[in-house]
Amino acid sequence: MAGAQLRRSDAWLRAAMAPQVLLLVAFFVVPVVFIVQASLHDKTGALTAANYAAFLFDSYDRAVVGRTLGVALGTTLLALVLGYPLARAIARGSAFTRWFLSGAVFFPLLTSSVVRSFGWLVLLADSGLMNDVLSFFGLPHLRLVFTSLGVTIALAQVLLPFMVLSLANALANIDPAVEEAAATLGSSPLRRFMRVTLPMLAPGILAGSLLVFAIAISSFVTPALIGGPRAEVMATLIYTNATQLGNIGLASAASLILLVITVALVSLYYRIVLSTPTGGEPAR
Amino acid sequence: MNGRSVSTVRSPPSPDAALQVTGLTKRYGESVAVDAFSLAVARGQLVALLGPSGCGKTTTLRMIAGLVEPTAGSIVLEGRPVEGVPIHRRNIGMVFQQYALFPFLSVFENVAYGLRERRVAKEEARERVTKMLDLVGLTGLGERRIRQLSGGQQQRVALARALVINPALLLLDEPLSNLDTKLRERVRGEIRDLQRRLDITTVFVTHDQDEALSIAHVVVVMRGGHIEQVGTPLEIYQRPANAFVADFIGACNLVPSEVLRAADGIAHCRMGETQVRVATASLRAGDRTTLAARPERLHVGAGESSSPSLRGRVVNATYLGARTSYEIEAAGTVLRCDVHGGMAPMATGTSVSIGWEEGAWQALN
Repeated sequence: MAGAQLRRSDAWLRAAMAPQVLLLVAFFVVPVVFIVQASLHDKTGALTAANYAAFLFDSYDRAVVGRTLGVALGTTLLALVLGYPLARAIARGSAFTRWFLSGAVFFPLLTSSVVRSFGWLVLLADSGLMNDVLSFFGLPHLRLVFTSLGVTIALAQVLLPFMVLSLANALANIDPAVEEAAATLGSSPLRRFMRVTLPMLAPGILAGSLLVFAIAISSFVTPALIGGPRAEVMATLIYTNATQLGNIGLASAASLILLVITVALVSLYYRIVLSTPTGGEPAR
Repeated sequence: MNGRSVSTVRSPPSPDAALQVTGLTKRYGESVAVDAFSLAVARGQLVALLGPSGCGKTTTLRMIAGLVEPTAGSIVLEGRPVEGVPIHRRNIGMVFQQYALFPFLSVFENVAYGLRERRVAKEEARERVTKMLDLVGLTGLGERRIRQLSGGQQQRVALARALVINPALLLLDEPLSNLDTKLRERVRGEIRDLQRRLDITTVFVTHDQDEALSIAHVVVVMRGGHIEQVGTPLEIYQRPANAFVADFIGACNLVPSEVLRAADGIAHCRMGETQVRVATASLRAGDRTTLAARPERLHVGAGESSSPSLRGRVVNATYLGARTSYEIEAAGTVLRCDVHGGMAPMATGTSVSIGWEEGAWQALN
């Protein structure tokens, strides 16, 4: 009886999910199949693996892959270093600190990334604020626009909220008394961080890093505006090849490489988040 | 009699004290959490800071540990002022209310943590940790993970971790509040035995009077950031310094009264139709005072009894097995009287007389 009811509600559920499944097939699965097909053919329509081989053997395309991964890694590390103090202040600070910093970190998410990236373009320009400050202190001039470093700095700021959110969440689940206990047992502040905070924060760090890395390798707007054609990454390479050079095969292969990396990272992220729902084992 | 003056705690200054706290104060903006707290703790003593929540006992403990910066006052540990000494160099063992164990380390590694920070050689550390685990009754559980332990076992790990470093001072912040009643009584006995055996100077924070009375050498009763009374458990219970202490520790009958005559350290105070003799150094005829007596010091008898006594009427009787707790209307108020022995309680409305022995009542300031 109950089994029959369950089966009937299962049928209803399946019926209710049908439109979403159709949508997914029509707008995700079908295009992916087309892209796979396109990636395996050259401009004349002959079957080839050259589009994939390019990313292994062509020095320019290989450099783009390397730059993409390098920028994503740099972005992740920079966001981690900048994000930890913010996350700590948000997780442990007074109500006002929490309110103010959360606002400051998350408000930019409501603005377009085009606007934020353009803002960075102004700051990083050769005659921009960043270089004005550097020369004021007598430091050498830095080329930031159209370089990987510029893209990394801007991306780290754009993606900072994701890192701060992950870290603050993990920190909120660590009992401050555990760090205090380490202090009474003889740990200096640095030792406390290394021996107690870091191990308990590890799942949060990993989750935040995977998230930021996955978004960074596939981000388009910031590299397009700040990196331009001279600091090309996978996303901008796909855009240029698909819309300007008419090299659909290469663009498709690049898309699929990016898709595989992203899916792998995101599934790893979910495994970590699901296996440690609190971001660290609470003491009790 | 003032409880503070009869205290066996050698009041400051005392060069012999293991811990000497003077004028310790903590202000948060306008509000004062701890106000001029002074206390000397002799070596090997177990002192309980007892009071309702918000009385400043935990803040005091955290200031001694170095976890809270005092606004004013001094703390001298083993003859050395600790001002400016960071927490990790104070050599203080602390047990936290939620234990604050390291969840990513095994039981053994938790206990060994402080030894590793002190660069104790591996072999010696292993020996000391094993010995400490034996001492707290966790023999053979060293390889367990923390979440595999019961609450009582976690409590013992926390205690072992704090004790293994041979601290100059052991601080316990409500260490029993997360255990169920039965376990709490057992663990509190174990803490007392361990403290006596290791002869370690200990400050213990609790809101539970039974805990404080049963294990402390000295009890410090606090309220609103102030010390209300310092004394042995016996002194605190038998000679409370004021109405707050009398009422907070156990049950107490408090009756407003006035002094009829006073001579040779004895005051005769009005109590309904009769008089109560109390020892006093300061009361004079005509003074107003509050008389206090514990429920178990008042005897209840049916009908007439020998003097001094009050006539009363039972308004409520609660049978508790080993004793019966009566509320009796007498002397214009309701007095609580405990009668021991499991006999059948007297019915509500019964006329009774309430008697007492010399010294059952005392005058509070």
